[in-house]
Amino acid sequence: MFNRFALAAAALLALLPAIPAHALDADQLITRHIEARGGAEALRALKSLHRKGHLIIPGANFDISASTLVVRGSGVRAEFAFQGLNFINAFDGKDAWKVDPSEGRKDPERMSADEAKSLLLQSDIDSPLLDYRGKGHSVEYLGLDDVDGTPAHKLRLHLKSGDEVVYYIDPDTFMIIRDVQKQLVRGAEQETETDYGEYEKIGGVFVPMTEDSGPKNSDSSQKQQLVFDTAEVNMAADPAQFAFPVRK
Amino acid sequence: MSGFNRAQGRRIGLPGALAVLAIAAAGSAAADGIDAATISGLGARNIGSAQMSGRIAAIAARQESDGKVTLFVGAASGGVWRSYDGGTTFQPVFDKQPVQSIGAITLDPSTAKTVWVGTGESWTRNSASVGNGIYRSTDSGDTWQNMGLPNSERINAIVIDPKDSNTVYACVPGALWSDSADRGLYKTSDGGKSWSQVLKGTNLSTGCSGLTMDPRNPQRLFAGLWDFRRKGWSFRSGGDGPKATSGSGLFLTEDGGKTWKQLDAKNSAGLPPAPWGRLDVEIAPSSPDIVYAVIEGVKSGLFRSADGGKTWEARDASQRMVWRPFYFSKLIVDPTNAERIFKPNLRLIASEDGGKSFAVISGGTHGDHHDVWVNPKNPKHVITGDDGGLWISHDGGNKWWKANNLPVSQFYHVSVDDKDPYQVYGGLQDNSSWAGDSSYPGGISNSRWENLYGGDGFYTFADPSDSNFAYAEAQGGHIGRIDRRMMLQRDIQPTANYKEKLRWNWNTPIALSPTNRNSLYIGSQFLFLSHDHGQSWARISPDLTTNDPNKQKQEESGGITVDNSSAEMHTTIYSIAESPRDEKQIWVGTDDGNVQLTRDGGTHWSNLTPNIKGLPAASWVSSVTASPSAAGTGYATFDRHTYGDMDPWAYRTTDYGKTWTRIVAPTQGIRGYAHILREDPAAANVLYLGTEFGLWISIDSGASWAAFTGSNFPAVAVRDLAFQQRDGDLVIATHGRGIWIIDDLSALRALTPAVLASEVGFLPSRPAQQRLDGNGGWPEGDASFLGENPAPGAVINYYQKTRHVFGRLKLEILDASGKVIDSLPASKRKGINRVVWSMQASPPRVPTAAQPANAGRQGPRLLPGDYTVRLTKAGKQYEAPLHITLDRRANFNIEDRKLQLAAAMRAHALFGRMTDLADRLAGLKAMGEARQGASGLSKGTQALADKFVTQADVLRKEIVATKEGGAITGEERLREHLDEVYGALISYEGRPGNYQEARVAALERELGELETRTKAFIDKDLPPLNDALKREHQEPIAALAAQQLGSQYAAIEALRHSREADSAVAVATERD
Repeated sequence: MFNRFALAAAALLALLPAIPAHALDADQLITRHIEARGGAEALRALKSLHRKGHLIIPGANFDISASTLVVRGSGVRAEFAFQGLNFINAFDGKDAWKVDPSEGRKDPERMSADEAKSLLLQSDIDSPLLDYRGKGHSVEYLGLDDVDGTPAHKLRLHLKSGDEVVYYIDPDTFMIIRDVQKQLVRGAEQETETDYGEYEKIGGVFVPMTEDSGPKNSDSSQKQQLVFDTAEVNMAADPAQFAFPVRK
Repeated sequence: MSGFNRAQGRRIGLPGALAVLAIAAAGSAAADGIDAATISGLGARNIGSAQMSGRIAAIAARQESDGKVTLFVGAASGGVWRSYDGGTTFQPVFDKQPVQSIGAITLDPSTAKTVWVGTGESWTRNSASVGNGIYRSTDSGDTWQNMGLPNSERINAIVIDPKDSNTVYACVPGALWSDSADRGLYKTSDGGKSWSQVLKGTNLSTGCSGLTMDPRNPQRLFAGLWDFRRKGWSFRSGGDGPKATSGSGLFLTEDGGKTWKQLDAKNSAGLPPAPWGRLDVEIAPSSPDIVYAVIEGVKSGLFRSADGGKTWEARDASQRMVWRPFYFSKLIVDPTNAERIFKPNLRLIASEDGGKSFAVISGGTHGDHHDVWVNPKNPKHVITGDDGGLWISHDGGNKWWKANNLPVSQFYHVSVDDKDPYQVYGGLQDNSSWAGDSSYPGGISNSRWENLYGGDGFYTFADPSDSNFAYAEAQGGHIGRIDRRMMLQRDIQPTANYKEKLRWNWNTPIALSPTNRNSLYIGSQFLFLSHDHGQSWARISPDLTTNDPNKQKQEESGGITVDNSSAEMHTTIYSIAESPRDEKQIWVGTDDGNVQLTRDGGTHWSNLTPNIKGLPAASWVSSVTASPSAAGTGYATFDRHTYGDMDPWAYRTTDYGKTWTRIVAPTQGIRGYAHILREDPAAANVLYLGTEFGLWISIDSGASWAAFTGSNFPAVAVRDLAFQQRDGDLVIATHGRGIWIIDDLSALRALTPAVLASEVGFLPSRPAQQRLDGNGGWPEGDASFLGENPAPGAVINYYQKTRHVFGRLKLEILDASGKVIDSLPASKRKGINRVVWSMQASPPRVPTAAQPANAGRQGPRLLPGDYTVRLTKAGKQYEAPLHITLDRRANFNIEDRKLQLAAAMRAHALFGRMTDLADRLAGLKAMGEARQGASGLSKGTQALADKFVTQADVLRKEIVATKEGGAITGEERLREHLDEVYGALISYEGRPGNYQEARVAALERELGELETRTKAFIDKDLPPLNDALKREHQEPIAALAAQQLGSQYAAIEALRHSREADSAVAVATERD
């Protein structure tokens, strides 16, 4: 598996024109990143992405299954399950909701608009960087910054919503290796740092198969880790699963 | 934390032993060394503390339109901290910058997210750090850009034109230790692209000490110039004495700095006569014709002008106003009330009558205040910073709330004991001497630190001969032996002989003997040795310093205002080291440049300084250390910043000081004057260097060095280093960011040329214990620092040449039989990587119920023994053994542990059986329900189906609690009972109680009965139902199918076990 993906990535990178890192501006960097991920066409061709795996919480060996599903134009749904209890976060492009049975209730609850922000971001299956202007975002190149020993390109995306995401892009592969999402929640700034890795090419697009998240500047051992075992693209998906369940 | 019981709360111990398999570790390191990326994956944990916190030099804040307060705090040597919630929580936002000393912070009044920071504090005490210019952030501190003034060294104030954000003034006192033309008042009109020096002094030691702008007219500014200089043995504020000429003065410009008028006693009636020392000036924002100035002079005091500076009136000149002017010289006028003035001083004092009278308002604060912010939208809201941290008042400055969340503590030295877990000892600038835990269940809270002594703190040690006692000292060599049982202090400082003066450094060295647990050294100009805990002392040296009388005039020190606090005491012993290889070999370094060695326990001494080639004369010996690996090998660091030389200097000798080699220099990429260099006690090629700008590590005996930046370790002064040799930890004393610990140096010690050349390979870890960790701590709110514990598990170390981006990086654990028992997400960074394995079995399969089974979330910890770690990368596999032992503190043995695990696994298996039964019943019920709804079903068949469904549900409800609704139902069934006893079994790893094993057996019996009843139910009720269904052309219910497919949670279960080879739900018995 690894060799195939590694070769594919290497071959892809070999085709790209060599541009000195210091000469990149924000748009060039985004172009290189989009090409490295598989190209704009391949990204736009994605209809859905369904990843399944497990969630690891630091300091615990809970057995938590995880799946994330994003369907273009329909929404996003993340599920986490253990002991047969299913935790759901979902967004249909308009409303976000959740199911949290940890204290004994399984009925869906609506999320606030602030809580929904990260789901809104995830629902952009292309990547918010692709056609960012058309989406109402703007970008700012912030130079190189260290990510655990890698001098990564730092790119700040000002979202249309007013929030922002800072991306850290590997200077060799042009893949995103970290982002920091900054969101205003109840008027207070919240920052979440996520490291991305183990990219695999699925449906013509490189997809991260690990996502480690925690507070900004937290050590990797302190982050909760999503490890995906499988990824599937463009499969049929019922749009109803994203909508707030109607009580029957 | 609700629903989180003791089993979940357990944190599991220390890392494990990994022998190197993939790469043989041998020999010395590569000559071409390492870089920061290679070593920083070691990580480091900050254990604080914020209990004592540290000196705050600058505060800036703003109440936002939504009522929240944005607060920036500049630590004297610990960076910039930002709070968006008025101080409840802070983020360090300056950690990636090359300096950490802060002198000024100013928020742009017209551009909300623009912040300016001047580096290098202006409170010019002996231990003050240095800056490297002025910085600007346009995103509230997320990113910073150095905007110039690189040689300013320290910046006192920044003022921004409220009508033009591009016009900024920087008040630069400048270099403390040397002449410099880079000081005075600077102005930029282009947002920092270029600067012009708009006001300078008449000599090269006069810089800017005060600045204020008329809010009505930004072209009108007052500035104070200050003549000052510090040397290793003296300080002057103003000239060399109360009558000497000084460059200090008060100046006024009406044209934005183009021209200046000096205001003095001759042209501005009421100002005091020259010479002056330090001064500050402040326009009252609410009434700008009122101007205040605090001026150090022969008659220091506060002065007030009511006519914009034309004439002045002397106001308060009390002791609290004029105390130590070089250290306290800031005025803050309430922005809403021109008569309300704050003067930070030894105590914070305030006036409400325009400075006629002042009262102490500092209440329960630490003292030694340096800045104040008054909320212009609520003047009762006042924030101050002092030598002990940050304090917030909501009643106008009468009572204060301490910010216990700023770990900017300024340690001078650190040591450790041999407790398990060990304690850390250290003394801090103006914050006493402390002992704190290196680890504590729930995290190392501020309260886990114990104050041992008083005053300024320096060397602090546990008494190795009696753990009830500790040694600590205050400034000037005031050493005490503390009985920790009662916190009694006994003064054991050696005393002077007839007509003799002992010269004790501010930071007097104390050293324990590494060869004799009863021996203790302390140095004045003489070296003293005690073998009886300070009951008696022997002088074992002559005066080891230069005894230069020109450097012994501290009673004349201070300039205009005498200041002789022992901070300038000179010609003293500053460092002591007995060789671990030879108790008769003692190395001594002095502050005036002598490196001395005795090889006969003090009978004869040799001054080795002439042998150190290339070292300028009289260089302060900041440390001497004796090699733990070779007698005759020693290291010396030299700190020349008191001469204005900020370069690192360190030498090594391997022949008892006959010859020396410089092993630390700026050409190696090292920044900052050197404080300490220590050789790794387990790897002679590995050296650690602390400088004013961070920690540096060499693996090639000093040929090359790399900065350590792991876990965002900042460029903070590293003053001392200690090794906890049993655990292999490096404990780092920073002067500004508290204590940090690098756990387990094994991986670093194993970095060899072969490792560095490889793509990937395992590195060793210290032997892994299954640490027993109880519950501790309690919610303290968000405004409290919590120090980090060591990794809770077995730590696996490996090296990668480059970051892993594409494809799988697989890390697996194999048991002794070679079976894969766990897989871990791999760390992907360049260089050393660390991954923690919990050493636990998979959690049991637990029947679904209304709520989670708390204990059942986790698996029990596996037995100590031999395991294998396997890393798969790019199609290649690498393996290393992992040997795990019991916690060395455990009061049970391996046989007890086996019984415990067996009992836990019996319960674990029972959970699995229970799950199978519950799933089967749920499946039968679901299939029955499907038939209930079939069309055309006869009443008789419907009744059979109804009965079948009801009975299946009745049985299931005997297994699990099913009442939903989010309440405390108190409903307990088999699963809940089992969870209770399972939790007890996995949370204590000694021999289980007989009653616990009996309880499991009882539950097993109850489950067996349920299984029997279920079988009977199926045997009795299913055939007639299926017969009826067949008669009515409905699909019958297959009992086996129900078992495999029937559960409504089958899909989830399948997902849950999808990564495992065996089927998720087809197994009838517990897999484990």
